[in-house]
Amino acid sequence: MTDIRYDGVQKDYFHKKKVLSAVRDLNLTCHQGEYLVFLGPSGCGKTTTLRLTAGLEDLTGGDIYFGQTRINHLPPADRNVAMAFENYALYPPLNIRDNITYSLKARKQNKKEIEDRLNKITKILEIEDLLHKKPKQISGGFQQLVSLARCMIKDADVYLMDEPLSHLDAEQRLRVRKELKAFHNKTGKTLIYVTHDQIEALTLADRIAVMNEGNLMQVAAPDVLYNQPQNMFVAGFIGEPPMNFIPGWIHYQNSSPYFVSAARELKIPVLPEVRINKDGLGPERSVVLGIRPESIVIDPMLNGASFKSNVVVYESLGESGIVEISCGSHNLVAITEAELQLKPGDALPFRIDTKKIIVFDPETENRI
Amino acid sequence: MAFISLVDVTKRYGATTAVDCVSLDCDRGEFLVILGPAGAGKTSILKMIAGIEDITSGEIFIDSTKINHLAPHAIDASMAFETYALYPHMTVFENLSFPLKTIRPKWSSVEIERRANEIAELLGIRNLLDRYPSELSGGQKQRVSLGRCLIKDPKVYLMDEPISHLDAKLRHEMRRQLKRIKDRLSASVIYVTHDYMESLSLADRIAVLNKGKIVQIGTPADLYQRPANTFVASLMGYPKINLVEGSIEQRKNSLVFTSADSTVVFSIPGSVKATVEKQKNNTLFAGIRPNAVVISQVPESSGWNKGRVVLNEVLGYRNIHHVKIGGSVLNVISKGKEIFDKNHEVYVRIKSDRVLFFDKAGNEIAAGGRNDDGY
Repeated sequence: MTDIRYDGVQKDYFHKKKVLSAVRDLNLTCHQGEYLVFLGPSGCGKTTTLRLTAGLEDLTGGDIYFGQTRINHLPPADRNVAMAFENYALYPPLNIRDNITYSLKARKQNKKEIEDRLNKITKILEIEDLLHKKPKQISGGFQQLVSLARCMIKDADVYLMDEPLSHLDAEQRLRVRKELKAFHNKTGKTLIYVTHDQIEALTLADRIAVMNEGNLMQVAAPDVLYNQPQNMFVAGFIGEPPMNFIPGWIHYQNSSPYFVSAARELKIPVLPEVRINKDGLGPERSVVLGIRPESIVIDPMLNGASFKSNVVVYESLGESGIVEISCGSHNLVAITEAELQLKPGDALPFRIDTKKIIVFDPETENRI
Repeated sequence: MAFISLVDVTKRYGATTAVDCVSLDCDRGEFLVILGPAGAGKTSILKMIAGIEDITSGEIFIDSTKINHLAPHAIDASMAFETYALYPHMTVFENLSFPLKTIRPKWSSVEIERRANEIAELLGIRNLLDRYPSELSGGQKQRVSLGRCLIKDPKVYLMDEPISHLDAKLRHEMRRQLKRIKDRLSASVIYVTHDYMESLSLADRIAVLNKGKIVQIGTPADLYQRPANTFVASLMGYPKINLVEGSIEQRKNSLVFTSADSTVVFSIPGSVKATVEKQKNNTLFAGIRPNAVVISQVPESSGWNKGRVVLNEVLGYRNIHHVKIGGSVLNVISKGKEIFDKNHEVYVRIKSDRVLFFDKAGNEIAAGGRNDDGY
């Protein structure tokens, strides 16, 4: 068993005589032993990709290879994959024990070994007290853990997990996340994981594949996605709260490039490392500036080279506050000190930390 | 009497007690958040107020009317369900506008359409109006469910984890959106969540629930700064507060907290000295928030604790280091470029004026108080 390769993978659904492409021309290789996370908003095609990998859906076009073997038409049972479903897919008449061990018994594995694995997995996931119950008798969160246990108990080449933590509460999520990471480290198996939760993606993945509307937007290590997003979609999707985008153009003053916002409220120097690029930033070129909320520095005492704004909404969050401010025609989101008791309408000067600004092309939405 | 009043309300399912003698008030126009982990009984409380779950014992009043035995339609409340509960055979438009059809005198179809469009616009689902629930993703269904709840103008809105299944980008937008519309709603809102950020941002007051019982009720600031016990303190914050078991000792001229194995040590700030000193011979817990710890390559002065990184997590601009100091592991939030690898030796300083102290049973006894160097 080696890499999993998606070669021009396409999946179309037909609905009311219209074609809906769930996955469009996906080209990607997941390496042996890699923890690859598909991340994207609901409806982006990430679950479909996982189901194609498991053999639960047929491809419309392209090929999927496990190592050198093209597996397009291989039945799910012959792929040696284990899958955890978001909607659990448990057998209602079976108790939890039988739900988890069903596939192992079907393969006629040694009873003692099944029992050992069952004990280990259910202990890790803290569901060992539920074994005699039926799925209907336990909460959605626990059903999800059972579905995860049924996946992890198998000795598969590839583990496929679809939003396996989505119905857990904050505490359980944190705990199971750690166990998943440990499980992957220990087994060294390939693990493909689908989520819409960026914290899960950032903490678990070796690499993250960001998808939107069926398209792969970027695949990279977590810190690369955050610091060097290739397009506005990735820049806006990763980071909490999301990045601010301000339309405007590049203006030169004494041969130094400045960003000027559309209605001229904001004038921001663009750093050399931003402008040195094969596309260059010619004068009067229209661009979109991307500014992370942590780069907007709120300081009520600030004077001098700062901008004026008014508070729109302020969220006090204990360890950090989030404020939406209006600056002329732009609304920006910034992170603040918790104890600023701000009210809508309050005047609030700010400055911009220009080190981490990113410039995008408004047409292609790609990074310049 | 408050606008909505729960008096000694209990709910049992067979031998299991889901809600255990809860008394709770919500004023007219108040946004009350019920916060708690899975299985705390939050949803059961909402369902009893909505009239879709029987009350085992106790009484519930809305606007001075006892609603214990009223049918759901006789209770002027609209509810958004975590499990969406959309009608599968209806389009999004039909689902959204369904509650309007029961209004008397009847609304015209033009009025209904205008209102449905308005709500769809607010929630960013206008392009989905012709679709059926089976053609929607989970996040889209959740927004339709929220829209159906908001479309009417009832006395009470009941919301069960209405934004918990959205991705971060949408969740942030929706949270601010809710905060903005909250001020325009004249009705009371009871909102259930397990997400402490939602509770801090949206609530006028938060009721923390655990195992069917109310643990603490207060404003967001009360709960964050003076949590009644370690349970509430652990709910409020990500990563959660570090709890270190130890005791108080006199060392030379200063009173210090020291962990049981003498590895985590810091001096007690003056503001809480008198209170903490009384616990001198007792075991207690220091509650140290991850943002109340500074991490560094070298000890910058005395009073730094030596440790070793066991895990680092980089979450955008924030780094979370798990630092093992003796037998304790402290989660530390830092910002910026300093990222220490696994097994790296580091030093940490605890901002003692931000430490919370709990007795052996986990009840709060003192808070370092000032919160002026938080993020």
